[in-house]
Amino acid sequence: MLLRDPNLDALAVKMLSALEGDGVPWRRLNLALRDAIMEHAVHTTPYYRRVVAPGTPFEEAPILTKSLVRAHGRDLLSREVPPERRVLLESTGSADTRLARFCRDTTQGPAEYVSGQRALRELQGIPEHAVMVWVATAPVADPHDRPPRFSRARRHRPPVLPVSSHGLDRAGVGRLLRRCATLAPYFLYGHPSALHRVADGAEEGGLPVPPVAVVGTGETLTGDGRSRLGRALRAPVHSWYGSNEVGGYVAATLPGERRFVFNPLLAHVELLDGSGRPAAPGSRARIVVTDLNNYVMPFIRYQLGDVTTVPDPGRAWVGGWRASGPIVGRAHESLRLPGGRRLTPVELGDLFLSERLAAHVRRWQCAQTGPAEVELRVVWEPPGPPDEVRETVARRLDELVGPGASALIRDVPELDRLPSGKAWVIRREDG
Amino acid sequence: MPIRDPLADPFLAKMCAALGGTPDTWREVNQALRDAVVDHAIRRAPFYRDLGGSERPFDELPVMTKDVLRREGDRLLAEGVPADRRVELRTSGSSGQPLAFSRDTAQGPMEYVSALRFLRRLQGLPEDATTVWVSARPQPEPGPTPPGLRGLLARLAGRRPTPRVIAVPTATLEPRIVPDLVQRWRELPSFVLYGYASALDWIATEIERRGLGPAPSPSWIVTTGDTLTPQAAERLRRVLGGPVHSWYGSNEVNGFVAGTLPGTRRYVFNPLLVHLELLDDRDRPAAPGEHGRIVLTDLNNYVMPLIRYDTQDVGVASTSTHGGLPILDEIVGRSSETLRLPSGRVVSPLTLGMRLFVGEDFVPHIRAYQCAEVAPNHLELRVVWEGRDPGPEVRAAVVRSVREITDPDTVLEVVGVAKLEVLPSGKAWIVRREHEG
Repeated sequence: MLLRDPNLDALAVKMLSALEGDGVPWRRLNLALRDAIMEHAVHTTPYYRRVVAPGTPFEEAPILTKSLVRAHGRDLLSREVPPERRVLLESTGSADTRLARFCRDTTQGPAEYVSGQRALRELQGIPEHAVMVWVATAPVADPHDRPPRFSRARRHRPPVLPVSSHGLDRAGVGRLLRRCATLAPYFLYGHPSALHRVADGAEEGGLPVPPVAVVGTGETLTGDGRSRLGRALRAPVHSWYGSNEVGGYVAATLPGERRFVFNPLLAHVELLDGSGRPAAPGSRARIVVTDLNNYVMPFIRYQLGDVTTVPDPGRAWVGGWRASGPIVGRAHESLRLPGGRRLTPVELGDLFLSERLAAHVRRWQCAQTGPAEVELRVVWEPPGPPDEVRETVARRLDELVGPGASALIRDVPELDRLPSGKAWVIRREDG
Repeated sequence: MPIRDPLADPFLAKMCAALGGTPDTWREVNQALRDAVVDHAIRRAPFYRDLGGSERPFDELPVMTKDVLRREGDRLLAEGVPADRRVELRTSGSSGQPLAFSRDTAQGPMEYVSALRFLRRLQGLPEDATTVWVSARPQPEPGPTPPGLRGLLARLAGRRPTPRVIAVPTATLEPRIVPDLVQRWRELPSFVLYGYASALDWIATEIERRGLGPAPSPSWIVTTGDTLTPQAAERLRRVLGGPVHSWYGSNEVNGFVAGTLPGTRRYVFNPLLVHLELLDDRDRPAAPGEHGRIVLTDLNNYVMPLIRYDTQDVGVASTSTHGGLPILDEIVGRSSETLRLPSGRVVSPLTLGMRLFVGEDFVPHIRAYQCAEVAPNHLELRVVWEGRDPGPEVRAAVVRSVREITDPDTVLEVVGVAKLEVLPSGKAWIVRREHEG
């Protein structure tokens, strides 16, 4: 990889350099930055002063959860950083209906939106000058963008084109894709459920100029969803990963893979089992992140609520970037079946991973309707699937849920959505 | 120290956190950054790759001298970094031959925003004061024009905004311009006087000599570029009244690498910019209290990695730290500005200045001086006297005073001169060797 951009800043240069070689110095730097923010937290926040004794090893610091943020918000604020550095935010509440208020640090802005995003673009080969077409429930324009007035405004290429997914109908998608053609090169970025609507429009109304890439974020991107987006939008499909609390550009998929790599200058990541110990290779793990740049409200060992798998030791690092397996969804987005079997969105998506099946399925959701009952709700491509496709899906689903559980396929005209506008993929409805 | 600025960048936030942190934590950050740039150099720069073995401990890598940099410049460039990331520069040549080298565009904001802000914060300099910059090639910067109608009205009325930076090139420093400078400074609401120590001292001397007082008092005085002697520091305080600080850096690495702690001559080094070593003649770490060469590894130049770069400056090792930041007890000047006598004693601008103006009070007699070693163990002190030559008694007293810091058999002469010799860069040398032996 070239360290390309003449306008790169010192942080982005380091992030990219950290992808190279054996990455040992960068792993050390990640640990050093982690310890620095832990020290800051223990010295300057009432919460950490209370719960972490001096000299406590990092791995023994308590896990921070959203409930703890709600309960101890003010005590998590550093007393040494002036209030004007605080940026007060709320979580979207899509995964948990109760809002949590938290603070980020004004100094994180450039690290996240400039350096962090540049590094992910470079990693995935998205050109620096490609316009980000951001399709989501509440996207925002680049605050530094100043469009010219009058006739020149039509030729203006904004760095970010915000597109609300609320009310994005087929006519709206058509208009959007024609506008995108005038902005090329561009890439589509947003919730997979919203990107699917754009893909629907492209399949039906045509795609004048394909994007250079499609980047899903904010929701689980399943294997079948990835294939479908790539096919319909004629572009490589990637994922970016993060959260409101620790920033949206913490990790990304490696090109052509479903493994995620985590930026060592933004976050220290741990993959932990149910008892808080490092999870073994091949097993499922909770993603726990320490934000390396929030000196206003340090998030130490913050449990994001997402689940991944632990890669084999030989695939656990890309240079100094820690790798995880596919992010299989949020912790509450898995269904527990008799015998301890768990179903995740990624596994269910893999059901449709064949050209013959995928061509008939537009979208799906899966609900657990009883202790041993699962219902797969499918929006089929018109005019509906041939019997053998339906039978194949039913057979694969039976195999997936295993003996002792029953699975039902139900046809639906459209998916159920959360108040935030995101579509849920998997959930319990058995009370 | 509270981390104040709401618009601070992530590097500045960490620099301030380091100031309030502990040595072990930030030493680890500093060493990891150091090892990362070394790793990059070994993988990409032919010079370092050919040294062989990424397992080689850092302190066994060769010290990079200016001669090596001159000879191996091309092989120090990292492969795979496009040419448009290179900023090709030359040193002023004030300490010897000119030197060509490359820096990294990515360093720009870090140096001119984060590092500069950090030093201002460390020393309590106001962000909004005008800087009066006295050096060989200072760059002026106009003040912001008010937006909209107010700006238009101000322009029509011929009112100019207060400049951010007023440039005073050293080449223009003549006695006749000093009254104009003083008048202009009086019109500024607040200002920081920043530049070569010798040039600022010259201005203070002229103000005092010509009786231009009361001189406008800068909010802060910051010297850089050449050595601030105790005599000059005392004169700046006496004539101009502001607190006097020093910043330290180099063209090759970064201009804002270190600064003095307020009220002291001790320098703190920024752990996110450079890895600091102080080495003796055999490239081993100098013992606490001993003199050593300042050797820096630039943590942010990925275009032409400068690993263990010998700045040719000399400092005094310290065991202490300030928060998580390493300290040098003093920076005594360039190695070319220190003279080593047969016994091993070191004569430097600082030891001379401390002797003449702190240990004793020759301020009423000596306006400025230079000390040349004209033959082995033979020093000539060239003095610009304050007014008339003070006569043999004072000369003998000066010799007795300097004798305290030399060997007993060192030949000492005091010679009166009309003015000091200045280098082409505009900096004044204070101590140097003028023989080949």
